Amino acid sequence: MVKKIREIARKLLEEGKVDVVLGYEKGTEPLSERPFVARTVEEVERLTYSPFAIQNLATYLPRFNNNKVAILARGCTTRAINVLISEGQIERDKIYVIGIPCNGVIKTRELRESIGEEIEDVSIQNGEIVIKTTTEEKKVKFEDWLNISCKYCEYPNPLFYDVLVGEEVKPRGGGYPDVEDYEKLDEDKRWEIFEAEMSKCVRCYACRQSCPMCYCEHCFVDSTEPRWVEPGFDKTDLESWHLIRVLHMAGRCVDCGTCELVCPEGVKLLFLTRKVARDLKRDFDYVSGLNPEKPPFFGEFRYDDKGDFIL
Amino acid sequence: MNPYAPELYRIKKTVFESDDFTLKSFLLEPIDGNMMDFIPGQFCEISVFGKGEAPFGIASAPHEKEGLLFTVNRVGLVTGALHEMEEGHIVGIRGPLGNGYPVDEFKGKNVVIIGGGFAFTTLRSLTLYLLENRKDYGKITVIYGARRPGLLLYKEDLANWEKRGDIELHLTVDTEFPEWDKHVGFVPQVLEKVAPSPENAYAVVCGPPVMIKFTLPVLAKLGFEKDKVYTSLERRMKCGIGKCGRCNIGPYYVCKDGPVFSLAQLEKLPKEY
Amino acid sequence: MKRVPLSELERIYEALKSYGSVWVRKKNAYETAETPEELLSTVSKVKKPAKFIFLPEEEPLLAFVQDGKNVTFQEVIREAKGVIFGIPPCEAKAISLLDLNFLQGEGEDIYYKKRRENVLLFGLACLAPDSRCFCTTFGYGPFTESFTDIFGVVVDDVLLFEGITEKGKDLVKNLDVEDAKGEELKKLEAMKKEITERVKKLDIQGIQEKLARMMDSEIWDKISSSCLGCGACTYYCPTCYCFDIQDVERPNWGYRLRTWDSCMFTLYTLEGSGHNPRPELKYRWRNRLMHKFNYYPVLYQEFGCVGCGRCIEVCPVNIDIREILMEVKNEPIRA
Repeated sequence: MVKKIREIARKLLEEGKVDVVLGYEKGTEPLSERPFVARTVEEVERLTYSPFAIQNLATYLPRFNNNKVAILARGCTTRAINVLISEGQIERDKIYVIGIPCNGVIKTRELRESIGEEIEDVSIQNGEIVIKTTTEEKKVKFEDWLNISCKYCEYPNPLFYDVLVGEEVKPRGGGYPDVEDYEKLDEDKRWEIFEAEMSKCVRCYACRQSCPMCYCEHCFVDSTEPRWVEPGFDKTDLESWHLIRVLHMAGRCVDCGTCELVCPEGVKLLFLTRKVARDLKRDFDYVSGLNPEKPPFFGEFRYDDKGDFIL
Repeated sequence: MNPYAPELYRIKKTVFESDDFTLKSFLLEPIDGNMMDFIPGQFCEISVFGKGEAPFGIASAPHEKEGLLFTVNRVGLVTGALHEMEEGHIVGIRGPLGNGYPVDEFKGKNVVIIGGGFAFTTLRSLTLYLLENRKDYGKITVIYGARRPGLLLYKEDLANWEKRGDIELHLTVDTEFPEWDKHVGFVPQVLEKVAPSPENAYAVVCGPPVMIKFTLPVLAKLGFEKDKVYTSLERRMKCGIGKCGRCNIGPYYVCKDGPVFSLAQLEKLPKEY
Repeated sequence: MKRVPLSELERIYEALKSYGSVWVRKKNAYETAETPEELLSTVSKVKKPAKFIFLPEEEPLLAFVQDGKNVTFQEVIREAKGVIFGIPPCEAKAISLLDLNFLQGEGEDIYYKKRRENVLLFGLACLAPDSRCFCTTFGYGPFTESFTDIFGVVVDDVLLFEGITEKGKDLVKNLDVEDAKGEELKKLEAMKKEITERVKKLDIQGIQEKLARMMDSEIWDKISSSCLGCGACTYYCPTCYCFDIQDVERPNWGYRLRTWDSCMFTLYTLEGSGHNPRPELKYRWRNRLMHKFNYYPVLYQEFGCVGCGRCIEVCPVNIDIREILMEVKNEPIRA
């Protein structure tokens, strides 16, 4: 797979079809497959791919609007590209999509921190992640450390591509059992979990910055006129920040999970974003990022909307 | 001493400077009666409690003891709140901050003061200071322009200076206006026409970036050396004492080591202003 | 050097408590200990550095009351008093670097100072430098005592320690502990050598001068190309101190709040006019790297980095400052 990716990337750069290839390379941290922008044929040799590649690369597209770009794209990446196109942020013609069928990505930070020892080597064998530490070899189940969105992913294959690397995979599907589990809890418990998660936030904005949909030049959280969220760490402000962000994601979030995966404090965010995605699907039969021609969810008015709350 | 604790000042007088009501001047008096001492070109952080602080150049001269004068352009949270304030309101003042113009270095020299738009604030302070200490300085030339007559600040002072024989004042507006009988054209063009001599002279330039951009080559053409041209920089600031980090240009902090720099100094620094 | 068996740490715990809080290393942050056993933390690198104690992520500076046109305000100073037990040399050095910004120059930062003056640093040698550590690059190492008030090393099941500063010596003087044994000191020396050598030292000789000539280099594009522009690297960095000051307004009262800020944020330098002197990530990256490896040395003759590796670990996209330093070093300079 990696060989094929490099081959394609090299050809694209050599023939001048693209200026840059957005891909991944092996990072310096254990379990890290980090974003990498290959600009030359030599740099192509650094491109790799694995289930540790957590960052949705569509996040980088708007900043390459003056270039022709090739991008490694999973299902969720192509959905993000669709939303960005429908919102007028990028143009399809300038993007060459190297499609990658995806078996899901791993909660790399959480796994790394759970090991609690120096990790020397990591490999994936027969559905297991084999982690060699300084003292022992640990094996954990791939499925146990899957990003929650990937665990129930309906769209693991790129929705469109210019070239596909590898065989399409079977969607796992399965809906939103995690959201339903959360909803089953009583109100106090739900609130307790919500507050506990939000209280960990240090306002580094890694969630926002890693999100393909958070491209606003001026984020509401930074606005002083009006001031929606105050500075500091009052819980009301931390909670408002995340709630409002999640609501801004309604009908836009492509459920890639990057926001939660990159959080340095491990704040759980997907139970909120996935709840909104589930409600949209259930109540409006809407799934974000499936069609670049369609107006954004909140950009469309329909007489048959179920939204009686508005009247 | 707590460098973050402001002194309380009371607004003594306010006046709209421009006919579009975006520029408002505030004369402030200390409620404890202790007027601060300062050098023209220094600035203060003004607090509107509940809204925050913002930096403003001091527009009054040190000898004007009736109060500190600031002219505020309405752009954001703090300036918007300030514009809503009237006589009697209390604000906080931290300062004087920054280095100010090198008025001692100017002694015995001719000084050419070039200003544009509402950046004339600290230039008012400087001009009045030079006039107050008139015998210490050579020829004083002021070139000041705005888009239209209604946007020129400090009209009373300008009228006074026009009457005096010991200062050469050139006012200009961008295009012709009825009853305007002074220069017409941009500041750099007027500077070229006036062509002050670089001999034994310093130039001080303050204005919008585009004016500065076109003024500097004219000064160079006239023969002003880079270490004889000073300008005052603006940057986003918070602490005002070189601690919070954001206003650095290279290893220097605009709030502490500036805001006044010579072109010779700036040339050695990254173009982050 | 003095000694106390780890099983008898309560003998020093009470003395430490008499200074105030006793902070110990927990996985996520330094926390106050409730029992002497907590001194035995095995956490080698606390995620949130001890900077959080001296420069908390938020702190009120003033509180004010409004009454019509009138305003009165009061200073609010959040103090801290006690001992940080087990702070490693890298974090202690980082605090000495923060001191340069907050305690030197015209305006001493009294908020920082009040806490700094009243908190003793009981350092412990770092026995488990990890793969991200490169402290020895900066002329000190896992056994460097000089940035602490008291410095100790755990040798087997004994804590060896000594006072470094006057304050530290005072504390040690009043303890009922015996002198370290000869064989323990010998073992300490061996450990020091072995562990210090384990740290991977980078060769960054000449980096300050090199950077001075790289203002217009294309390297900044390359370095910043995968950066997301979040503030994680700066927030967890033990030497980053940039802050913001904003007011929080309530009906008729409010407070002035200092919070952390990050040079990686767009808003950090955005001016009211809309002009931004560092409009793109590459300029922010240039400033961050320059600040640590050129401006800090210019101002204080010290690098603004201690090589703890936290930024490498918390970065969402694993941008590695070590690689960047090497890239800078190897970048040819255009004439």
